[in-house]
Amino acid sequence: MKNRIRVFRAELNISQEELANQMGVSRQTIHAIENNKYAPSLTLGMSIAKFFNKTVEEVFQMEEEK
Amino acid sequence: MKNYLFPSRFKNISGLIFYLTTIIGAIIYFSGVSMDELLVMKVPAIINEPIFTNNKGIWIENGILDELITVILIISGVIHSFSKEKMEDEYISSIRLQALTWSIYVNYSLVLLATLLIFGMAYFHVMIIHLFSLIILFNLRFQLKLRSYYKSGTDEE
Repeated sequence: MKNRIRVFRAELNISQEELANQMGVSRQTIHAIENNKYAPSLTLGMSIAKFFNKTVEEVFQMEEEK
Repeated sequence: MKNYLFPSRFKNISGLIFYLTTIIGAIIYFSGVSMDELLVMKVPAIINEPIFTNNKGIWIENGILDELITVILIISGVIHSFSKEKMEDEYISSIRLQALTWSIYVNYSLVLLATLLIFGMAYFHVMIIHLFSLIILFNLRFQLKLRSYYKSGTDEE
């Protein structure tokens, strides 16, 4: 699953640490999500989307199967 | 969602006790010292089938060092394994679950191998080690994965 968290974070000019604090997770978790090493739960995914004022689909996209 | 974890304040002290007891227990066990001759006292025995002694009855004479080490090791190991991290989140829960799955696979693979290849008194020793191997393997794997988790993402914002 791909995501555009890094892009939206850059638009708001906030760090991983700040986003992590807002979401109640660690900075490493945000780092892992951004780098597609961890797919967040529905709850966390929706919270992230809500924080950026976007829909879940705008933030997270399923990678197309080859 | 309920996660059945201990508070994070127990993590360090239980870890210290767990690793110390593991080392001390291993040294005593592999040195061949007879633990039944140390710290002897009368203890209640609900079930007792003596092999070498005539120690019968509800109250029996027993060296309690091995029981003491077993109890301390299991309690501290379980608390250390299932104490929250300071910043416990869903990714750490997933790392914990993966470490638990890995350690069960490895532990029971080793038990299967030992069952097929080791016999006699040596198998008895395998069973003794098996009492603690799962929790030791799990802790080693989980701590290793946690270490790389905490190291991750240090190079970018």
